[in-house]
Amino acid sequence: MITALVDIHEVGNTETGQVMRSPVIAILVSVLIVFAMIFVLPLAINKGEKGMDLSKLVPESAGEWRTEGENGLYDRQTIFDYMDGAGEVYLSFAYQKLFVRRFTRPPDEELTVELYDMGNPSDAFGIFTRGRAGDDVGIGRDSEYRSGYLLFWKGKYFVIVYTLVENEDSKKAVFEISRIIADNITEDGAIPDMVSLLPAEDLLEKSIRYFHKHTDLNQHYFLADDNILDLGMETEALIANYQEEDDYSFLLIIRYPEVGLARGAFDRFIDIYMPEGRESGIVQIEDGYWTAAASTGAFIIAVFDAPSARRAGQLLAAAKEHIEGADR
Amino acid sequence: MIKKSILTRRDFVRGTACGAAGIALGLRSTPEIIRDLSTSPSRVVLVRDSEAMDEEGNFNGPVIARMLDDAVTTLLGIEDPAACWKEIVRPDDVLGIKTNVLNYFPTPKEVEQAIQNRVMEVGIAEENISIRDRGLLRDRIFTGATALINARPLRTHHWSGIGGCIKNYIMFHNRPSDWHEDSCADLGGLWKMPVCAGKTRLNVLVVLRPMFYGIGPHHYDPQYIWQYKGLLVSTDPVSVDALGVKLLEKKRKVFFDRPPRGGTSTKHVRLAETRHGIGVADLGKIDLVKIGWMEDVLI
Repeated sequence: MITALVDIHEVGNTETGQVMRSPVIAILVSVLIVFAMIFVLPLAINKGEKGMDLSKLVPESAGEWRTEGENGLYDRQTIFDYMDGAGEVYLSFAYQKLFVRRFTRPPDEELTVELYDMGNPSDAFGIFTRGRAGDDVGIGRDSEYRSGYLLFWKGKYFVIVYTLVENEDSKKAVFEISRIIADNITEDGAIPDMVSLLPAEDLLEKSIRYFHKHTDLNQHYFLADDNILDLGMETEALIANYQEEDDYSFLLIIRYPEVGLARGAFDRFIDIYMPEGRESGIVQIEDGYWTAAASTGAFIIAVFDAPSARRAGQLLAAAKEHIEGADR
Repeated sequence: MIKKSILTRRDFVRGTACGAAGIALGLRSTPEIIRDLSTSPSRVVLVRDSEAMDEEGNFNGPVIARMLDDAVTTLLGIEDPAACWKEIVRPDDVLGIKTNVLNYFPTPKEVEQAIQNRVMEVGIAEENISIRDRGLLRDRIFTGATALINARPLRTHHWSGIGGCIKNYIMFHNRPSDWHEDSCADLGGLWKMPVCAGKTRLNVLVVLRPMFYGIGPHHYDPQYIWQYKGLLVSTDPVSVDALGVKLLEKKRKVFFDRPPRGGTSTKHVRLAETRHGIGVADLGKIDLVKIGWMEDVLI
C-alpha cells in the first residue's frame, strides 16, 4: 500500500509539469490505482463506517420492547439540540458523538438508550466517575444503577439506559439492553494511568473523579469561581477522598503538559488561594480545615479539608512520593 | 489585582463573598407591567399548602390554583383574585406562558391550567395564548407576544447551578449554547433581548417538589427531591431565583450530615443583578412575604 502511494505520488507529479518516467510505470501505476479503488478504498471506508456506526452497538429490540421513532445522532456541534446545557459537561471531555435510541412497550412505557463516544477510554472513565455514587452492578468496566437509570462505561463509550417509570419489568429491560450493548463493545479500555498515582491507604475508590477543566473541579470541590489552577483540556486531573475515622480529606493531583505550566499554575494558585502558605505549603483556612499544596515536575498536588496539619502533610507527602517514584 | 475579582472557597467561608455578590450598580430595570409595582419591586411571595400534593406526589389542581391566587393577591395587595389578574394582563394581550418540559421536572399542568384559567377570565382569547417551552421562535404567539408569564420548577443544574426563572428564557435564543460560557454567567442578558425584554408580567418559580442536589449531567434521584409544596411568585425573576438558591442551600444543610463540598456556581443569579440589572439578587433587598403552611419553611 505504501509503495503504491509512492508511485502514485510520482505519477501525480505530471500535474505539476514533471514527465512520467516510462509508459510501463504509468500502466503499472494505473493498475494499482484501479486496484486500490476497487478493493482497498471500500475496505477503508467500511472500516470507518463500522467504527462510526454506533447504532450497531445498540439492539433494535429486547423482549417486548421495540424501537420507537428515529434514532438521534449528535456531534460536538449539535449536542445542545439534544440536551442544552448538559452538553457542556460532555464537551469538557473528548466527547465525539452521541447516539440515542428510544424503545416503547405497550401500552405506553418508554425506555431510552444514550451511547456516548467519549473519544478515548480515559474520558469515558472520567464522565462516568463524574456522577458515580453507587455500587457496581457488573456491566461494562464499571457501572451503577439508580432510580431507573443504569450507567456504565466500557472502551471509549459511556452509556446510559433509563426508564422514567421504574418497575420490575422496565428495570429488567434496562439491565438486559445494557448487557447487550456492553457485550457489543469489544474493547475494554484502560482507566487513566494517573489513577495509579493515588496513594492506596485510606483511599475511597468510589470517590475517584477524573477530569480536565476547572468547572468539573468545582463540581467535586468548589475552589474558586475562576480557573485559578489553569486547568484545561490539556491537563489531566484526579480528585479523591481519603477517610481517616470520621474525617474525609480531598487529594487533588493535576498533570500539566509541561513543567513550566505546572510551576506557573502553582504560583498563581498560591498567590490567590493561600498566599500565607507560600513558604510552608500549608495553611489552616477559615473553616478550620487544613490545605496543603506542592508542585513536583509537571504535577501539582493539593490536599483540602484535612482535619489537621499532620494529616494534610501526610497525604501530600504520600502523593508526592508516589508521583516522584513513578517518574523515576 | 486578579485576586480581587475572584471569589474563592475561602471568601465564601469568611462570608466576604456575599458582600461582593451584593454590589448594586444601579442598573436595575423593573419589568414593565401594567400596574406600577416599583414601590416594592423586589417583593416575592412564598405560598405553601400542605394539601398541594398527596403522598404519591400527585398535584392537587384546585389547591394549587388557590395558592396562585393567594400569591398574586398578596403580591399586588388586591383582595379579589379576578381584579388582581386584571392588573397583570389585559384582554388584548398576546400572551406566552413560558414553561419547562424537562421529562422528570416539567412545569405541572395544574400550574399551567391555573394561569390559563385566570388570564382567560380577564378576557384574553384562547387563540392569543400559547403555553410552551421549546420552539418559541417558531411560535407566532411568543414572537409577537405583548406579555409573558414565566413558570417553571426549581432544581439544581449541573452547569448553571440552578434551573430557575432566569435560565428558563434561554429558549428565546436560537443558539442556547451561546449562553453556556462560564457556568452560564450571563443568562441575565437573555432578558434584554427584544423578543422578551420588558414583557414579563409574572414569574412563578414552582417549588412544589424541588430537587436540591445531584451529581452528573443527568442527575435525577428521588432521594434529593422533597415535597416543599410551595410557589415563589414575583415580578422579579432574579429575586425568586436568589431565594431558590438559598432554599436549596438550606435544604442541603438539613439533609446532609456533611454538606457536599462541590457544586456548580450559581453566579448567573448574582450577575443578573450586578452585570445585567434585570432584578435583585441581594437577599437583604428582597421583601419576602410568606403565607400558608410554615412547617420546615427553611427561608
